[in-house]
Amino acid sequence: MRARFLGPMMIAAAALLEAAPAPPQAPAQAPAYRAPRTKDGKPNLNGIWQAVNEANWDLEGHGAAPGPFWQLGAEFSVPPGMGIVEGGPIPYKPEALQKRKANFANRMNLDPEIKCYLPGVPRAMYMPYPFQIVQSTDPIMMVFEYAGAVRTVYMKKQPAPADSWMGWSNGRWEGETLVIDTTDFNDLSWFDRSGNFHSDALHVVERITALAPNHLNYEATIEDPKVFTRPWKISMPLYRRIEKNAQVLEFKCVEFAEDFIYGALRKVPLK
Amino acid sequence: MVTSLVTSGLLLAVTTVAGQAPAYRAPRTPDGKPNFNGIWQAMNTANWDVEPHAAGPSLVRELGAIAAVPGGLGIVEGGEIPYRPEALAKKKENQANRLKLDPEIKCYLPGVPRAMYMPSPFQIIQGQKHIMIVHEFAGAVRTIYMENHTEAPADSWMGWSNGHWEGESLVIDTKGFNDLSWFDRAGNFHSDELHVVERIRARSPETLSYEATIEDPKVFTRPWKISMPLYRRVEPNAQLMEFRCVEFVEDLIYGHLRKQPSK
Repeated sequence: MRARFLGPMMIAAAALLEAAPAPPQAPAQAPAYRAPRTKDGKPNLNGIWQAVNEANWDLEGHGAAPGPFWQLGAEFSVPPGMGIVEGGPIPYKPEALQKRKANFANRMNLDPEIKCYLPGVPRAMYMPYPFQIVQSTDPIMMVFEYAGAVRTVYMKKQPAPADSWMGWSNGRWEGETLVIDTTDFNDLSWFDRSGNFHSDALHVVERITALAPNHLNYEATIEDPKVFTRPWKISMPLYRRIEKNAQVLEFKCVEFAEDFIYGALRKVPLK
Repeated sequence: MVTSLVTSGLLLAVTTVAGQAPAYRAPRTPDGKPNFNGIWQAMNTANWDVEPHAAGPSLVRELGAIAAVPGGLGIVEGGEIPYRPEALAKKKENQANRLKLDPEIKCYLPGVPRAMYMPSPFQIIQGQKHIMIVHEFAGAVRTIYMENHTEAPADSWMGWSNGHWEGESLVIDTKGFNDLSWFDRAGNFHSDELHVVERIRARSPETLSYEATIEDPKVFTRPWKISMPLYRRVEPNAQLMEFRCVEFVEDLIYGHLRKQPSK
């Protein structure tokens, strides 16, 4: 049904795209854009960036749907999205697909985002909040508004000391592209609000390339032999926040989740 | 402390956007006008509150951090909306009762300018006589009449829009609103005397600069202004999808009529 719905729309979209001035293309087709350089001669990715898509609701293509909480009506409905997974559905192993469905059914209790847990990778990159890339020769930092999450990308390879939410990231430059290899995740983060998940065997390789002064192309290959039958890939543009006063603000959400987590312990429990 | 920081940042931004915009010349349509065709979206937290605001918890505690209010620097020039005293009281009442009153929750039409900074894309389809703006949220549509300007035939959610070109800028004059839409989830509101003048110009191939002057003598002591960038959705497969939310709000609106009322 999804395919039937998208078919004619895609044709309409293609027609419209012809009329519009050409947007920046994915790197494959693109005339090679050369990013401005930092002092050490690397592509300069410094800035405040944000995804503009519905992947945090569901990585896969999905139609609009009522939210899991009817009291918020249309405000918390699921907005439709084309998805960012390349080449069709996520290749779950059969038992993992069962778990994904159970996650979805219980998402309002289980999604780590509700509890203000750390977003993990790649989810941090497409949460509906900005993040800042702060680039030195070594390391490169990413600072996320959501939950004050941070990633340190070591440009000289370092071994992971322990498993963690955001994993352990080693980076390198391949021409115009920052390649980040991240392992040593715990098994607690999700990919989205729909229950897409991974195990502690998750291995993410991200490729970040400037497409234009205000756009990055983001790709990630996701591998987890405990959960998926093969590696799979996501891709999306990232947009520079171009307001002159753009900044990453404070969004420390622990206190916002206290009632959700501990409300049952009140003398008069929340309903 | 936050306020002063935020206000100075805002003033800086507003002067920069309006004043010093480097002269970018947009590509042209066949009739020689700046070409704004495409799918656009705001990327800010104005739909939560057009004024500067800190992060805060959701009114629905069961939703934890997932529906919490993200902080934002606001899009109002000068930071604060110039309400008349009695109107400010109504705004506060709106905010306190927003779960019952916010038209967005009920999937009502977003009105103007709110439609422009809802967290959903919209498409500009540009003809010579009419320019259409089609919004994903609730399938809202605006027709901008570029010729034969007339008065609104009747009041409506999205108002009646007459447009003209001033060099690189599309100027849209909209009146004929009903008094039912809000500006955001924070209860900022207007009356049926609302008059919005929007100015849209391209600032680069992938960004528009959007400004609106908002006038409503029943509610505000003077006209005030908002400004923000709009971003072209640059995915190769970008398109508007269907987001008809009427059916999503049936329980909210009619649930109390069930034999076992929704709680």
